[in-house]
Amino acid sequence: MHNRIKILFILGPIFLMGLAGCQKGTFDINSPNPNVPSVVPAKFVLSSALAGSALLQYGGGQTDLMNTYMGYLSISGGYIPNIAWETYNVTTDFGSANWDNAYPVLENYVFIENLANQDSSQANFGAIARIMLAYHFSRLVDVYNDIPYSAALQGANGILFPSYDKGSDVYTALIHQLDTAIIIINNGAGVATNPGSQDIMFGGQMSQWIQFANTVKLRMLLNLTQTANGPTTIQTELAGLNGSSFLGAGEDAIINPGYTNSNPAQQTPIWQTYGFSPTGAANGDENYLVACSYIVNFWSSTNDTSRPQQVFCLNNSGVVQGRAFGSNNGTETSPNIISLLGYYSYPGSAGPYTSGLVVSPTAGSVLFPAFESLFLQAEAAQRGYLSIDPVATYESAVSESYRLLSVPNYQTSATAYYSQPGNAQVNIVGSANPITTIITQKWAALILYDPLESWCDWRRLGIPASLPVSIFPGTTATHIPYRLLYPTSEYKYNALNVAAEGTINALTSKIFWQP
Amino acid sequence: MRKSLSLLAVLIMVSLFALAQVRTVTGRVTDQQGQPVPFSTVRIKGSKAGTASDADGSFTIKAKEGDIIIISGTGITSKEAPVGASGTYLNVQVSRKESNLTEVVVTALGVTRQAKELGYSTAKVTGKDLEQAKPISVANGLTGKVSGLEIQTVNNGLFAPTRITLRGNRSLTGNNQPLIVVDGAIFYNDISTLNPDDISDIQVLKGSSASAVYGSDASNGVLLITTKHGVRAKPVVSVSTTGQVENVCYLPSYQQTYGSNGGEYYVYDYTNLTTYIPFENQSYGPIYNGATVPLGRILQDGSLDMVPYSAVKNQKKDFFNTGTTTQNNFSYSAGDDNSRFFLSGQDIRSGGVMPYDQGRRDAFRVGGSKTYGVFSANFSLSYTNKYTNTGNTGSIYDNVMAAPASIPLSSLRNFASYKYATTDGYFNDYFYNPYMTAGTQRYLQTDNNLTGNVQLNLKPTKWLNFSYRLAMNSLDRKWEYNVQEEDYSDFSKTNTVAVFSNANGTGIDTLPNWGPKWIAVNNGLTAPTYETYNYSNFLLTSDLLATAVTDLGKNFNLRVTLGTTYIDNKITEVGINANTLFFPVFNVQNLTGIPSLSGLNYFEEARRLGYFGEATIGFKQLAYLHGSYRTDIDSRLSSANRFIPYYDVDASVVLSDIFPGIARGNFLEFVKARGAYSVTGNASALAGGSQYIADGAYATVPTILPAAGYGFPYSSVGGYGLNTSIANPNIKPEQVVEKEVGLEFGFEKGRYSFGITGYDQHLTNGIVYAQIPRSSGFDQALLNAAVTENKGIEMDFHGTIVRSSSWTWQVGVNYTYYHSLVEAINQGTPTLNISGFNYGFNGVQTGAVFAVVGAAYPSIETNDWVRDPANGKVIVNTVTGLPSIGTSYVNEGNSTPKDVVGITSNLTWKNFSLAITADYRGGYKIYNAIGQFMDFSGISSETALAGRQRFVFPNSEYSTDGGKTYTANTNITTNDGNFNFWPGVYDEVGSNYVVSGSVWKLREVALSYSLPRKIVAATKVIQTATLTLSGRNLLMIRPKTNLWTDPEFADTVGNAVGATTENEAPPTRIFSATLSLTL
Repeated sequence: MHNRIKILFILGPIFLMGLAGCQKGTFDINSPNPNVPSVVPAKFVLSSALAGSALLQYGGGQTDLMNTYMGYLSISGGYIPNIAWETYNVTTDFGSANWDNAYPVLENYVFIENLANQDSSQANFGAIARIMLAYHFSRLVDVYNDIPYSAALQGANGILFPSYDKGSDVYTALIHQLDTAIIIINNGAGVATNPGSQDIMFGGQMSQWIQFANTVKLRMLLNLTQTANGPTTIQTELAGLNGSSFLGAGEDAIINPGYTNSNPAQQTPIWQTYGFSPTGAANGDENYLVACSYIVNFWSSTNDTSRPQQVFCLNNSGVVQGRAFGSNNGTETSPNIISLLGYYSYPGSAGPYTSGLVVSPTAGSVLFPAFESLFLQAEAAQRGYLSIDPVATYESAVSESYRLLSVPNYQTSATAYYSQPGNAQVNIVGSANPITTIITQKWAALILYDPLESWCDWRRLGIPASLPVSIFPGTTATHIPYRLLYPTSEYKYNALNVAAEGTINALTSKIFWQP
Repeated sequence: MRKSLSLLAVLIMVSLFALAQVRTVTGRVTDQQGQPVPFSTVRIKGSKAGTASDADGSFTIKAKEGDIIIISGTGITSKEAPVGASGTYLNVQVSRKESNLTEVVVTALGVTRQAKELGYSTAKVTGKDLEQAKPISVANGLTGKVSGLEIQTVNNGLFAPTRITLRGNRSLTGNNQPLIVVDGAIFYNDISTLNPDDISDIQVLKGSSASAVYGSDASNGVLLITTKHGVRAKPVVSVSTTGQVENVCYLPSYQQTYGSNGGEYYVYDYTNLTTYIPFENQSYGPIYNGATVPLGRILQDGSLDMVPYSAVKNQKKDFFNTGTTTQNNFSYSAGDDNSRFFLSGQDIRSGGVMPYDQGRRDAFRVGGSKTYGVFSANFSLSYTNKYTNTGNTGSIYDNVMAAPASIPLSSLRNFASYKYATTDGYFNDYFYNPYMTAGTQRYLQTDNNLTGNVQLNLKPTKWLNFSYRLAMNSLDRKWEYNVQEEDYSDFSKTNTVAVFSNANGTGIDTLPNWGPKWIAVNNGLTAPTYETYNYSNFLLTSDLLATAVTDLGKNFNLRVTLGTTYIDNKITEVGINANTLFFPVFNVQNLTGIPSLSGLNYFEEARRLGYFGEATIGFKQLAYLHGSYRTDIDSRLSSANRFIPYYDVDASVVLSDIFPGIARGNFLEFVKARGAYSVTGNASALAGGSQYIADGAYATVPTILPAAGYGFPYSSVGGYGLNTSIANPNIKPEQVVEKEVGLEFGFEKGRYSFGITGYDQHLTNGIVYAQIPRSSGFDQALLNAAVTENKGIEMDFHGTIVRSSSWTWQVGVNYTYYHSLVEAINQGTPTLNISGFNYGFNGVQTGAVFAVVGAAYPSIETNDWVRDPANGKVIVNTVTGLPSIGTSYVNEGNSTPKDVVGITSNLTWKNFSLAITADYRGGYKIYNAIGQFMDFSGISSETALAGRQRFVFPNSEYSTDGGKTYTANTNITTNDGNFNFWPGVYDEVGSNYVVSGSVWKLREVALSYSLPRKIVAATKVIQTATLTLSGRNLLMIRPKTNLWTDPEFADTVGNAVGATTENEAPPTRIFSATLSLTL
């Protein structure tokens, strides 16, 4: 063999041995990531998940949509028209944040639940996670009917394309989850770690979590009133529960991690949507959406002078003035004529307000107002599912609505309001249809706090019966939509599973509990 | 053996073995044009002693008087030169055979080979060609000159950003831009930091076969840049100065017929066009009639601007400045027997077309080499300081374009004191004066780029060479954002009086209850703000190479290279956001509250060790077989995925030498056939396409992130949330298999050449952050799932059309055809969005750039009108006459060119020379998002086509039987042709803004005149003097459907090219004049 080749054969290995010059560990620098953790205690995930839940409740997009459907808000006209929205030409983009933003938040609750399942000291965290999962999944069913549930939220286990479950099956499973959560809390009393201040909703008061769980369960059960087996199920599931089992007067479920006005992301969610940035710029929907004439007229017809100005600004003439949804009237576009939302002191109007619905960037975020719990209890009592006084519960609910809106002397004002003689829209005593009275007032109280629940009631009971449709020219719909379409993201990335749900029409396809 | 020896000599610069003789003779081999002839063999007649000329043609040999020195080599005619009785310097002029076959080519790792050995396609661009039109960035100088090399200048402005690709795209989400290697070391800094004057040449290794030895970085090809290191000659000082002017041309087409109205005071019917709104930014008002009308509102001092109600001539164009740039260069080059030295400096100062934009770049370089016995060393060190001061292009350009045509925009330049230009006095209720935006919101960026490269060579025997190189790249960036906002006066915030006028000018009405200036109340910033970050990116590379060249018997020879390369990349960034300041003193000490970290405090590091070898076996100079192999140990990958082999096998055969019958006669000189097969990799998708390996660190590790989106941390509560992207510890590099074949022809002794190459690149295991349904709990998953195919044909023709004593005319034509296909993304997932979405005004996602299974990559998909599938006609509502938006996206086509033609021409006549570069790019689509914005504003020419009246939607049809049958629409008009149609309906559909991107461009024209030697010589100081006039981007020919901008522009330099927005300022034309002197 050629000498030079021999030398090459000797040199080759020597070169490779040069590798040994690199010390062991030279290439093991990829983990841990020096910038972010891979493991954190459950409590830190709990706080962010709850903050996520608060943002979902008031995030722009889906709540705007439902607030306009339910006669609370209208599009101001100060911008160009949104014809698809104003004619119910529902697309897969409508309210997609309702879905797209929810599942990642839910994943965090699943993460907490999994941590708790491996460590009994974390039981309270696991129970809270289960309750919040039930809370959110029930809302998804109420908007979309069938949803990915049993196969959902398992991307980390390799299930990238979750299949769908029937809405009714999801409801059944969630009610069981709520019961389980309550058992876990009770079993862990005095043993399991208390979430303390990282529980930014109830500050670690686990008894309130039990009340909240029961209230969520009550809300779900009442959605079943018009279904075949609904009454039986409701009776069974509510057995043994009474008024103190639920969130009562003064017991709003409010999330507050310490909202501040020092940066946009730290503002309370409703302010992020309808308020102003720390430097004073409109956050987006502040004057895109204005008072809807339907609720303004309702307040007027029921002589409610307190709540309108806790929700909306006064206009230049010193009154709350609404605009019909779908209106194209160019003379109404000035905010001096049609009322804007909020505390906001528009030049020429009275104010500024120091209280009300959109009151400040630092207020806590109401996830489940006490009045909603009381209205639910009143309906359940009226239907005979709970043995409490429906009248007192109803009146307490109206009063609580006044309180939450910071109406001055709220009890006096509320009493004057619900005691108006002979007015069945406000006074349940002597009302020919107490359920209608309850649901009508529930609708009026839920403005912005929870338009989805109003939408559920309307779909379930048709109340308020006079709920208008858009007056935008060319609107052909005779009623507001029954549901939203699955979001674009599902059609794009989970195409096979969503296709199995068939063709869906937002105006005619129903939620399983709808009559 | 002799020829390979001559190549070997490259590695050591100067030959060392010569017979001991009387004295040392040095010399230089040059050709007819006086250009150096490198690597020729220098022998003493009748003796075995010999050496080779080096890269600049110089040689040293020991000889005695009377010896005959024979200069021979590939590509030159042998020549003999006697050694005289005295003198030690010998200048030998030889004549070139001009065969492209024997050209010396620098290949991967700096190994020089002859063109005929190469089994793959390469191309060379000389420094002279690069800088003929005095580009500021090297990338601009490469444009149009090489087939398969596409340079896309995606914006104008200071140091315009460019995207460079070789053979298109392979990876869906990884980096597709080539590796840049400068003087043998990986170059991480921006190519625009290089001074084009410093570049000796750029060798383009087009395919992954050519670059396979770079392993997991190799799939995108390589630009091998060689900088000047000095030549052996007497010292030369060069100085040049360039003055350049730049002007905006090709503005989007806009209407100059209708004045302002944004829907005010119309109830249901917008077609009567009666009300002119003096403070509106939308142009949906009455027809311009020349009457004198108010503009804006009544100011606090009671004054009201009155202007003619007519379009201002050149209104938009006159907003922009004439950009000016001065470039001053100097260099010093010297060399003797054993050493070379080069130093240069360049200063560029530029004022952009956008008001207040400024930039400066100062580049310094020293390079050189020294030989001592068996050792030689070379080095280069460069430092570039780049400073830019730029504004918010998008919002400035938006407001310029949106301004109704009657606004005397250019008179509003003095926003500080001219009363109708101030924050309070600007006419518009909804937006700021663009001059004020430009003057008060500034991005300041200073980049310090430092690169150093030292190399030590040891040549213990004549057939063996070792070299060790240590190189570093460092970028330190300081970035600042200063907002110097003036607040609105209380008057503006509370004054509710608005002024109205009808367009007839019959009077001014005031409306006391309108409400205050919208922006004063809703958006008025009350305090200055400040943000800053510091970023540093450091790369260390260390290479050890051994090269051996030897014969294997009589007919074969062998060259082997073995080596290891180690790289370590570190990136750190710290940013701070001071929110609001008390005073406009821009630093964090002046803030009013608690400063917040802007999520910008991180450290990343990745390391890689590659070991490799390559070998070439030659048979009788007729056929060559070459192979390379590499494995990388990459810190970013799990240990199981580290030892992935990358390799290349290629071969070339000189058919005309094997079958001499082919090239009989003078016409056809040679025919060479070649083929290559390679497997290479790429893991840059881990970093979302960043070329920096450190950016891809930690992608395999699941993380829990601070929940900043929810405002965490609050003062007492912390919050963390799962990363919505699923990490994958088992990720592997993408794999690209490339097959390439080519034929090369030479004609008339090198006067003409033609080459054709076909390639096919197949990517498997493509790394994608696949978009997955949110119902999985996540929104993306890191997977090895994509498969793409990328094929193409490249042709290059070079010819000297005319060659006479006073005339030469050289022409180059190159053509490239690209075809790409996405075969898979992730199981069941048909598309992957790779860009941000564009939106209609109402928040509808109107389109984006995608990877689409079964389509070319990248593709534009948009929403579209509901159409009749039978004939594509738009279906309109029988009542409203309006079309509706379909629910699914449609594929509008690929967004990168399928056909590219480049043409270069170089004509010289006596002392004049004229160089021209032109190119064509076609067969692709472009999404013009600025069109949406202009339709929203009512300023686009489209919105005026139907006279703002109800009209029959073109090419539409309707159904009266629920969709069973359709009737062509000739009579149902849209319910509005004005404010209720263009914004909110028409601008919500992306397909309206996608047009052909085809374009011809005259990119460079440079006319030079060299002063006659006689005149120059008279100065005794100046050696040469050249005056050059040049222009860039002189002409752009687009189809009529492209109403908007340069289709080369894009909102990114990443893979997702295909959409332009208002962030890209209008295209410009550049003229410059240069005086160059050598002393």
